[in-house]
Amino acid sequence: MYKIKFFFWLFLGVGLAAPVCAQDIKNNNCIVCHADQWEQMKGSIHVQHQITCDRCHGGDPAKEDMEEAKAPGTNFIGIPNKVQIAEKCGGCHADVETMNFYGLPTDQLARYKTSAHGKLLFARGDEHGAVCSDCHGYHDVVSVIDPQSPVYPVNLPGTCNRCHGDKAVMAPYKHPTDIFEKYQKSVHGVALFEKGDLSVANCAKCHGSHGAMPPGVKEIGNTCGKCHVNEKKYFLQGPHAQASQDGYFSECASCHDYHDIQRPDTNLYNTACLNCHSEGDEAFKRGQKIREMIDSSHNALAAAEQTVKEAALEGIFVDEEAASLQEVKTNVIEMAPLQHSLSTAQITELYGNAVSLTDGIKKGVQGKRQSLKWRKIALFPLWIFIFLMVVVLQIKYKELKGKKDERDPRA
Amino acid sequence: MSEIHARNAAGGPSPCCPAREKRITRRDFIDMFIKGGLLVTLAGMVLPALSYIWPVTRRGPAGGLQELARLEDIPVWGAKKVTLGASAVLVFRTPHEVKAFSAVCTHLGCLVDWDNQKRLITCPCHAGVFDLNGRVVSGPPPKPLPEYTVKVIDGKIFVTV
Repeated sequence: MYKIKFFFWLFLGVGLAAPVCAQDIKNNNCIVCHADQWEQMKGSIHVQHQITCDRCHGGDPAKEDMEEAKAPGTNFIGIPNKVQIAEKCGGCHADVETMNFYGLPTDQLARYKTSAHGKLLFARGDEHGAVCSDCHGYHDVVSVIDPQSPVYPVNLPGTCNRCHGDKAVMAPYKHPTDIFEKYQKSVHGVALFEKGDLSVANCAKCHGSHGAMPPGVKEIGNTCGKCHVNEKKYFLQGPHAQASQDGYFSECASCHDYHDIQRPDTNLYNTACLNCHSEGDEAFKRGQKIREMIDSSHNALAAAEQTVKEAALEGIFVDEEAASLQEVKTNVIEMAPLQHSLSTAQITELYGNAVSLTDGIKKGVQGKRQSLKWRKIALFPLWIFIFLMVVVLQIKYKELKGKKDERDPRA
Repeated sequence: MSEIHARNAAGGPSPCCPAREKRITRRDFIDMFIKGGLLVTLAGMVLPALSYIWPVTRRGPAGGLQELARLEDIPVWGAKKVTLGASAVLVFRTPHEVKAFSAVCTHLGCLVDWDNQKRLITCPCHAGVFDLNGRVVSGPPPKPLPEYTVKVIDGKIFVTV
């Protein structure tokens, strides 16, 4: 009877979905009773690689009798607790020989044990600490590059928020629960959720995934600097680097905040600087000077772009000006990371280049407009010449016709 | 009377009116105007034809090739940024070949530079790095740099546009 049921499931439910694991499933009697779990599991990455029930739960799936399948000596553990989950997953995922053929890293368990989650679970025995299945799922685990995965970049913030947005869960740890809302509205959140930019910073990019830890005051710069390479480079050249080293200043977060980072503009010089400086001091004035140069460069670029666009619409060839415009754009964009050095000398150099180039663009377009104007004026003598030619040819025609009429009055 | 009329008609000098010999008649003026006008019209037709022929002999090979630089201007592992139309091209020389790529970074459109020490193409704005084949090595650029086909003819570097 069991065999009949087994073949029924095999051909109707399983055979078409996972042919690669037909042999394992043939011997897997767990699914006879646990059909609902099998429904969740049959599309998972594990089933695709013939990893079935007993690898996590123990037992002997080849036994048709339930008591025998769970008998002592079969390593049956039933529903694993969180520590067992970490160790069971790690049993394969930390094994170099097993993972070698899948090209997967094998340090997840080691990293997990260093994480805030891992320490909570292993050191304190607190089962609130998230473990593998809390983020990746359990029966229905799919590859991390599958858009259905809970840890796929677009899904990851929501997955973290399942615990970190829960006030009851977070209360003992005094963690804020509005991080997801803040992140959603941040420049990174907008890029991820609205623009679909998967490369943008998400929870794991800053905190780590298996080794997730909140970065300390001194580590924030390293975390942000993984993507914002030039900002980090120039920051280290500036006067705030030492203050950051001394712990007075949180490298990026002091000005940009962290979870609710907004697209920065030069208004930060009017607000963030005042968190530490007063309006009259030299440092504040230096910031204002940099702000003015950056704003002025942006305005000059926008005006030059408009000039070139208008000239192109007027039918003027603006190839040289368009090429210069790219140089201006480079200078202006380069100022954004460079400003983290707070070096007025370096900013002034780029500002000088930008102003000089935009002046050149304006003069170039003015010259071409002037030339076009003179060419239009030159049309008048040409039209007069054509008109006079028509008149004299008409006179000549009449004269010749008159002569012909004199010679041959009958014509 | 008929003799005088005949001479006038033939355009010859009049024996009774020597002062009127150099006078330009209306007919003469119209004839001169027509001849001059035709000459100007002819010149207007010939000049564009000449200017069409002339640059080919002065600017070298045609057929979509644009001269960027002379080979001697760029040392081995050296580079030059050249404006080409409305854009810029980065041309550099290795011991074996000359390569040219669009100098416009595929991230935000900054002009890239040649890093002679690392022998890589770098973007000054957001630290994008491209290799000798224009492929992205690191940083935010989403695509490789477009490459130009380079031809070296008589010591001059040309790209196909």
